Amino acid sequence: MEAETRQYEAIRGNRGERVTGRAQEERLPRGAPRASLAPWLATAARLLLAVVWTWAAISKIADPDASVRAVRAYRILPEVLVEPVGWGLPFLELGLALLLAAGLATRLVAAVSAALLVVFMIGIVTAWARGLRIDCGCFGGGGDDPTAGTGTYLRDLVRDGGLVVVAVGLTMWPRSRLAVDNLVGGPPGHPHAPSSEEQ
Amino acid sequence: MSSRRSSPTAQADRKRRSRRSQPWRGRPRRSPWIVVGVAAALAAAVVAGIVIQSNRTVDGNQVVRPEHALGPGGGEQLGSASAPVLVEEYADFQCPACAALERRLGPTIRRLVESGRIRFVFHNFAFIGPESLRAASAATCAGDQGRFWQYHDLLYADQAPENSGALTDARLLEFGRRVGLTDERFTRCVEDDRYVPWVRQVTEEGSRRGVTGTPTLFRNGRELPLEQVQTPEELERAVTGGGAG
Repeated sequence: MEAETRQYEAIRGNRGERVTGRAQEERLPRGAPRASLAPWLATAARLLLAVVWTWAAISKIADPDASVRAVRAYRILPEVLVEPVGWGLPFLELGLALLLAAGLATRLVAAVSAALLVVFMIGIVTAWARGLRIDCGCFGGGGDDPTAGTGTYLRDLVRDGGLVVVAVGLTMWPRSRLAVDNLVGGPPGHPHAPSSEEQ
Repeated sequence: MSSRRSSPTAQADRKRRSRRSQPWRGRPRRSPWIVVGVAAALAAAVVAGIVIQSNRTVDGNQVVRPEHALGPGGGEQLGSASAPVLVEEYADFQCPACAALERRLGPTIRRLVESGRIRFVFHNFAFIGPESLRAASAATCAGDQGRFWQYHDLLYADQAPENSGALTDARLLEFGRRVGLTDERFTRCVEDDRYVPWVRQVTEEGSRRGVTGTPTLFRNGRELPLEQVQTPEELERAVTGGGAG
């Protein structure tokens, strides 16, 4: 990443010995001070998203009828797509959860997670705008919620928005501890040096 | 600051670091293949999921249709087909709001049916959990012997919290005894969950019709918003006012 290298140089040039945590983590050789928490934060982000996706997937996989009804309740997709999405989406969520837990292709998986969350948020916003009273179906169940209103929709959007921030952050800084990526070549665009700092 | 940026120390440091980064700069990256593999695996998981779940969906061959006559859309019917207004309800026997609606509006609905002003059709929309399906199946078993509505009333009157495990075979059979059903036919029907696939099918049909929750009311095929029928008087006005509509 040439841009990052330049940024690093600029910081270092301007501030003498002061370097950003991540730059230090990635660029300094073994034995250099490792004060940075960034890779551990990325690990925490991975695990948080993995738990959320698992939670989302399990209940929907357990009750495929309910998953299909929840997709249909949004009244966005044509009927022919409702069943495939209701059946397939939870497995995508489960796959993302497993990959995040393992830390494999972290950047791709974090980007897909962010994109999927944005799609869900769009669904919630349009349901809200159209006056549909549904719960989001995010974690199973789904369909109608007579009490659904501004509060419910806002709560779901704030939660999903927070998760988007986490997923985007992980897409930008996918280097993490305890990740399979560290063994097999690193996230794309991040030339990995097994000899430098992982061991 | 600018003098510092170009200081010999910084330049030397830059060179040193640049060299240090060389060993892995030219190394072939395996990541693109990992990304391709992972993307393919995710796609395969989605396809596998669709196949697995489509096999778990209701198969038309498993569906046993009720032995008794049903109204429009496979619902239980009260009243005459010649009544000017058709009122339909989609409900789940575990749904507290459905029980509340029954308490609040049930007597009015029966009175309107008896006076020939409406025909009432009850559709199962058993979506809260497995106990919803079993309760609906048992009520349909009772319907085979002409006791659907009595059984329906008992399920609501003695409703337990959702998915609490209360609706066991023993309890469903006990409700049967209380409406006079003690025979082997009813017992087998309840114990075999005979109408569960059919209930799943009609619930799916309700979902396609736009039902997303319970209770949902329709008046002559158009949804009747619950806010408009909170009291017996409002219900009476809503379903009979304005003629056949």
